[in-house]
Amino acid sequence: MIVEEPGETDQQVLQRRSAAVIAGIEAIDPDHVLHLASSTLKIILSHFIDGPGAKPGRRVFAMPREEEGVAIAAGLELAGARPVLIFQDNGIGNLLTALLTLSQPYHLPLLAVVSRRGGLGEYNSMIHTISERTPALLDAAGVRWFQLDVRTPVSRWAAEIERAWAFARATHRPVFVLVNLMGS
Amino acid sequence: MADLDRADVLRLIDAAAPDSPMVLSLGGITREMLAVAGRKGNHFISLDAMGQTVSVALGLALGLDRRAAAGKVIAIEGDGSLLMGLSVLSTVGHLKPGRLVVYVLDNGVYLATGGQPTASADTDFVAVAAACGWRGARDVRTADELAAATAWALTTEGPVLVRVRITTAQIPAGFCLEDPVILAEDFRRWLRAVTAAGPVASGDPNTRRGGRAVQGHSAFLSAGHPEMRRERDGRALSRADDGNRDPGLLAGRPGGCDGGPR
Repeated sequence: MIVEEPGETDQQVLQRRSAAVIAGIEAIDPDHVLHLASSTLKIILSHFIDGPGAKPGRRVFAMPREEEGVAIAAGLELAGARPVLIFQDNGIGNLLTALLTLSQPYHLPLLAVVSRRGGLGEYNSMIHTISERTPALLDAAGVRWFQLDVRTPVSRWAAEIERAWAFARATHRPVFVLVNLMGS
Repeated sequence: MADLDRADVLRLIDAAAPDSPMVLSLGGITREMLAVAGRKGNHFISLDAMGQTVSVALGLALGLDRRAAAGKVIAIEGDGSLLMGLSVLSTVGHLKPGRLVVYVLDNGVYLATGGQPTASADTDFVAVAAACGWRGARDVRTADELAAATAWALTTEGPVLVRVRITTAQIPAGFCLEDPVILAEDFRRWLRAVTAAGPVASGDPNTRRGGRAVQGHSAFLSAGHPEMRRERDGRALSRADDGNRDPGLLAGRPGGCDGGPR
């Protein structure tokens, strides 16, 4: 196991990993960033909503449900735009039908950056009941995913996110990057 | 009380906006559009993804907002499907895509699955859209009202919504068994060809009208809605000279969406 963060507090880990995710998404230079509220994503979302990532020519807006975001992204993709979705993994269940009846069968690329919940450091007593099953749900759905956590040096996270974008387009399908921002 | 049948409404919309990207909802809307208009490059057919028709059209409208040639982006949705994703009315009202026109064909039932009732009888879609910040919305029940609302919708800054009360009458229409990959690619190729030919607009993308398609709409409308008059007169609409169809792209498609009007 590769541990790059000895002695860091959970908050420091969160900040460093969030910065890496921001760098990865910025390297893609999306023209549309669709997001759904998440406390663990707060640093990342703030960057795009009202921070340096709120650039002219880039639309950043909330999707009320993940499935709506999947469908909006499908339309954006058809139009030749560069959307990225950001949300947390307890919303995976909401989007499976849209993903498997639209993006996946129509071969519409989609990059979703999905924060992991329900692991070590979790403060919500219930969320693990769905979040722990995220990989199994995605596997059952045939959705390609990669996970970034303590096993991947944070210095590689941005490049891996950028590669996931390219991989989604090369393979004409949705690709999810699961990011563990909470320290394990 | 509605006096419009779904197939007639679809004919009218197709004739009014032959050059506009159009997202068709699943079930009867797709099947009957294929029956009355055939496979067309500007039609994006959603074979499932219930509740997401307007969302796909919203994404298209946002993504095309700097492409003047793309014109209006039209969603044709049903009441049951819209109620499955009603939150998109709020998202659209917030983002205000100027190109977006949404038709809601409201028959009050899930017709494709046997006519189970929806909640639309007690839902004022026009009021909801207005309350969500849409730039306009109308409720129509007759052919004349539909013609007027279409003329308005295609020449008005969006987003606008037209709720069309329709009967539960259906026409014979086969299933669309086309590979979704081909459906998507046909649409993309049509869109690329259209947008490549047109200029990239400048200025605020949300306050522009689509140049080429709006001109087409204007020509259609200034001619006194000949297609609509023909429909009201009960005469068949010939599609033989439909310049929007590209036989090179769509010829020979097998299955229930192989191109020809039925």
